Amino acid sequence: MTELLRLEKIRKTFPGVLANDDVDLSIEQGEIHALLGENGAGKTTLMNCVYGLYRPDSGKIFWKGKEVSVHQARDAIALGIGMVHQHFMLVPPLTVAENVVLGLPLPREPLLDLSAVEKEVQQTGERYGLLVNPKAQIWQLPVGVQQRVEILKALYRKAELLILDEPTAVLTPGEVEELFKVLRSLANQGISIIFITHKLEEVMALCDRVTVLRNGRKVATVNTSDTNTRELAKMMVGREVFLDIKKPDLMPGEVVLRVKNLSALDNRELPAVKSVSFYIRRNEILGIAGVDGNGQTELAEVLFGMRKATNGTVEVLGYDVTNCSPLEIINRGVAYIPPDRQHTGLLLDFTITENLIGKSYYKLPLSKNGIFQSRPIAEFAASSIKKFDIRTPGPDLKVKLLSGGNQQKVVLAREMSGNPALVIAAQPTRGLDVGATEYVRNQMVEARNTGAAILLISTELEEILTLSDRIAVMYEGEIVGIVPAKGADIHEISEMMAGVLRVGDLTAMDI
Amino acid sequence: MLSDLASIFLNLDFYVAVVRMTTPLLLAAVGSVLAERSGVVTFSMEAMMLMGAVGGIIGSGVFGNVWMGVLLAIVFGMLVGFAYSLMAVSVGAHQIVTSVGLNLGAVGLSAVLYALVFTRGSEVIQTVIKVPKLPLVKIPLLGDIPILGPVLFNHLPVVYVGYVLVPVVWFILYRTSWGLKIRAVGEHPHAADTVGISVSKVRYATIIFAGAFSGLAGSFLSIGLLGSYMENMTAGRGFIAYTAIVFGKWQPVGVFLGTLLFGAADALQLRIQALNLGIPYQFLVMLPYVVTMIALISVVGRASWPASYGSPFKREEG
Amino acid sequence: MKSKNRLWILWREFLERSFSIAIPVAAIMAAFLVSGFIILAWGSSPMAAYTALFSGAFGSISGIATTLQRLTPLVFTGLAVAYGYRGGFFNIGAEGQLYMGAIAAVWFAITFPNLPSWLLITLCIFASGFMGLVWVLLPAYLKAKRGINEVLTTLLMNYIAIQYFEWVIRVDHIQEGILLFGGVEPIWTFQNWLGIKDATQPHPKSAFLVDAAHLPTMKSLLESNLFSSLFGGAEWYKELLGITAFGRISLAPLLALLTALVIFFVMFKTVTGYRSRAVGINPEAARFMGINVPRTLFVTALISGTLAGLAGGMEVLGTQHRVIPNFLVNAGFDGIPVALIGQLHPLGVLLSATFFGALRAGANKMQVITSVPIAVVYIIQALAIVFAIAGTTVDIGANLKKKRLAREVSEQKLEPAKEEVANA
Repeated sequence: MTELLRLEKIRKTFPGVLANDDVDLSIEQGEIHALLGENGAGKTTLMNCVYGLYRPDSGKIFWKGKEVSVHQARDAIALGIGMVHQHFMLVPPLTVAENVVLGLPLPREPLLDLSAVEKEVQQTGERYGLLVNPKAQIWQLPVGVQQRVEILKALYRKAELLILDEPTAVLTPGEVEELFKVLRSLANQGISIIFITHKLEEVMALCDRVTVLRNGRKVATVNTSDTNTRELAKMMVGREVFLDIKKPDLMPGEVVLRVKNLSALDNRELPAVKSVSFYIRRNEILGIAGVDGNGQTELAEVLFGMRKATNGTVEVLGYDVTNCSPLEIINRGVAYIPPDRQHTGLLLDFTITENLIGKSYYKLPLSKNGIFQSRPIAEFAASSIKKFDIRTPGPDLKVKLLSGGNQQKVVLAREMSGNPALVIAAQPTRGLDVGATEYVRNQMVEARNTGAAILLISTELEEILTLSDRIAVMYEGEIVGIVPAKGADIHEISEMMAGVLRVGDLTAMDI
Repeated sequence: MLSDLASIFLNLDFYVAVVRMTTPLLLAAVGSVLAERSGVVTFSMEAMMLMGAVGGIIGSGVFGNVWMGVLLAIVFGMLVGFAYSLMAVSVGAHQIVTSVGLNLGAVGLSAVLYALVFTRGSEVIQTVIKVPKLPLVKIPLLGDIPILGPVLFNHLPVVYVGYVLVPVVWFILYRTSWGLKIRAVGEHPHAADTVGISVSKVRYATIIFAGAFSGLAGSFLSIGLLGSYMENMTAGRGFIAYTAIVFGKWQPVGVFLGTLLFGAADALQLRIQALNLGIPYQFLVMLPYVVTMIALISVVGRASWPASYGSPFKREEG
Repeated sequence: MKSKNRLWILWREFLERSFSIAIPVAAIMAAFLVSGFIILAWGSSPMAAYTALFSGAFGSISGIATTLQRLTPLVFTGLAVAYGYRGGFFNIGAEGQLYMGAIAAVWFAITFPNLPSWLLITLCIFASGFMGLVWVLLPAYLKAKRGINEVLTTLLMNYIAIQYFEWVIRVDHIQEGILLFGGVEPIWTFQNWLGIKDATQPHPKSAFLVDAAHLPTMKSLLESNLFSSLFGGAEWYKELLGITAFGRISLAPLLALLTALVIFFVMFKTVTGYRSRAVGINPEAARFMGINVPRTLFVTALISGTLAGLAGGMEVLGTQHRVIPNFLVNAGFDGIPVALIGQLHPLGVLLSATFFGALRAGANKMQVITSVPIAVVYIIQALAIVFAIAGTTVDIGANLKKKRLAREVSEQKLEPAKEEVANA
């Protein structure tokens, strides 16, 4: 077998973050190579470097043995590299053929005569099992077919290496089968494929070799025939440093949140949460573990009234709040720490004070008859800043000027201000440095100790294990197991996360 | 009253006037369709037309040749297009605010240029300067067809440009690779960028194209109909043209029908006013706007503008 | 290390605040500079022209009176655009709302001429604001509930309003209609009810408003019993009374100032303004905070429309006392640059409206003294707009880049680079 692509010591940093740490990778002709790792392990960043969307800080890229420099996508395409992004780069109102030739010289330039192109699309499609009507408009096609068009687009540009970024994330199981067939047939005809994924069984089912990334570093490259899902899961999750969090044993109190048979759809109207049932009590942290994209975000949004429940009920302190508005749910004592503080958690152009009062600005004493009361507001802000140790020169600074850790403290301060009965925390430490992470975690424990019920959603298993009293694992929208955190077996949990083990609710109680 | 109305509709002059009223709107609106489809709001048509109007007068007056006027009108329109591209595409400034600025600037600049060239020094700024104006051109054979001939084929040459423009723009948009690029840039600039299409170049080119035809439209008003110039003589026709684009849902033929509707309403309105019929003709002028509003509200209209409409394109990580 | 960080943050904060003042100021200066070349090309001295312009606007009481008159509607439309823009509703329909507001004020004043002055004026002001609100209802609803682009809808509503205006000032107002309740046989048609034309005039003009509907002026203030009894003997009093231009200044500029202060208060010191701004900055984050986004958008739009309606009312009640075709050309559209040069801040709007108003007020004198055409001031305004918007965009562009980087960082949940750990 000949080597098609080789990466040597690729390093890519973003301010404050090392995304790729001297990664090596070698792709042979005609192989299907999995790039496996958790969300944020640096898989996509690495491939964006290959495809010319990012420029690596250091390291070399070899193509067919020769060193090349790829400055933009055009260069990569010229070399013979094609990439199918998670968000398709297709123009919805144009036809399949039009999308395929977009940017290339036409057979009868400048006339838009696509009959030759349509024929070629048809032929390529037949050859690889990528059947598409070349005259159909993209927006009329189901997602799975759109993905085929992306692959056709790359093949039409004579791609020898195809990079697929989480291609199955948007597909139904049937479509996944179809895709695998196509990819195998492509590989048989000499085209190499890099398959980015975090799903273990897909690696085992499809790929020849697998390279595991963790925290931006390469863990290992192994043949799939020499390994199994259990071993891969271990490599992927790894063992991490446990931060020092002190958590006293407490007797859980009354049930705060009770969820029964809850179902919901995602943005593509596909089932994302499937008949989920659980409860959380006072003085208790329920951790929801799971690989990103298994319905956790959607679950949090349904609980907070941001997404419609299609079935089932949500009760907070005995009140049915199913499909109530966020404001009604907030008023029942629910706080929500959204996963993306820059986009949904904070108003970056508001000052610290304005953000801090975000959940209580309309109530006494901060406002009276709709008019803000400056002194109570200033006092409120000052005490929040002090209590949550927000490092800032003053309360009237715009929040966007703060560091990530301090921004998250602002979110925490805002959400905790009303002593909520239930805190839904989604990825509360994502992107934070060690110090801020520890601070945020301690705050969660503190809230638990003082009587709050906490739903912690995190893709970091280590965080779940450290903080939770009970752990629920989500896989493809279902809760495949709920286990007590004490004595939980990390391997058992990673197997549940990978969908190979199911235990049901081991902590169920009759209340 | 009915017989009065009938007399309007039975008179061929009315239909000639419809063609005349439609032409400047058509040139500007259909000429801007390509830019609009590439995702740019061409709210600056008013400025392009106004500069075209004064360019026509200056070219015709200074060179004594009406065709130089037409040429200068086109050049002026293109210059405004270039200035607008700089702001809207390169700087990425808010397109409507920029347009409002350019429109205001054109009111000032056109008046100053006109005064600089013609009336400077003379105290009588009001003097109307007469310059050579475009000749009527009767198309051989076609012009002799009864009824249709005088209505459609006995006009200023600019009118015929308008006839040709609609199919040409339609052809460019749907039957050439340029049109494919334009549509791709308007609907998904990011995707176009990744396959090597320069979003900026496409937008510059289409805006300057819009400038050329809007400038021509302006010259139709100055050296076409009147042979003289008045301050702010486009009187909001650029905005009407913009409305026609909305009415036509960004389709060349639809936009053409939109300009025809506005042109016809205008021609009818003038006649009703002249005949003093006591019909509230203002509602007639209002009607196309109401129709456009309904078109916009109707469910079909929701996704008719290009997906990237009005938003500047910036590549991720340069 | 920490104090250094703190200093850096303070420096950034300082830069940001000073930029919001520096950009429009620099833009206006640059506009004067570039226009200077045009004046040179004209063959006049830019210095002389600008001096004449300035003294025309501020050099005399009559100049100041004209400046105040010109800036008043711009303050209202500027506030309308600024409040809407801040709240995510880009209202380019101020022109139409203004026309409807003016119609309402005129109609009310000539329909109920016998009300006591203070009541009539108050009701006229309310009527104009209310009609502005009514005129934005449909675009507001469509934006909030159906997500239909407000730029297109408000633009269309402008032309519908202007044509309605054109009709209504050509239709006689027959006051018998109003005597319906007094038992007199009314001539009951829409025309009678809606028309505002002065029936004695051949030209399309509205009837003059009764004196009771005129906003108080300096003259009426000075001649009031209170003032004449207090200062009747004073020299300065007699002098002021003698200056007609001073007496011409009405209450409208003062009301504009007050309105700007009120909007400042609403924007920054009330729950309503807080919600509007939150939705304008980031509707998604606002939703996460429990804010009802459609309702907030709707309220924002109504406030914006009301302000634009008031612009028409103030012009009629304070300055022109009637409406004629094109009685206030483009004041609605000009509200857009006024708001943006004013950095979308109510107090900034006051300043930029003053800039616009002064240019127009001083232009005549510039033309008379230096023969530089009035149209030059439009060029100055246009350049100021273009420079200011370019400056702001470049500034925001830099911010966007930073934000994107930050987002990229937040998407990586990696161990931070070493130096960052050391700082923590």
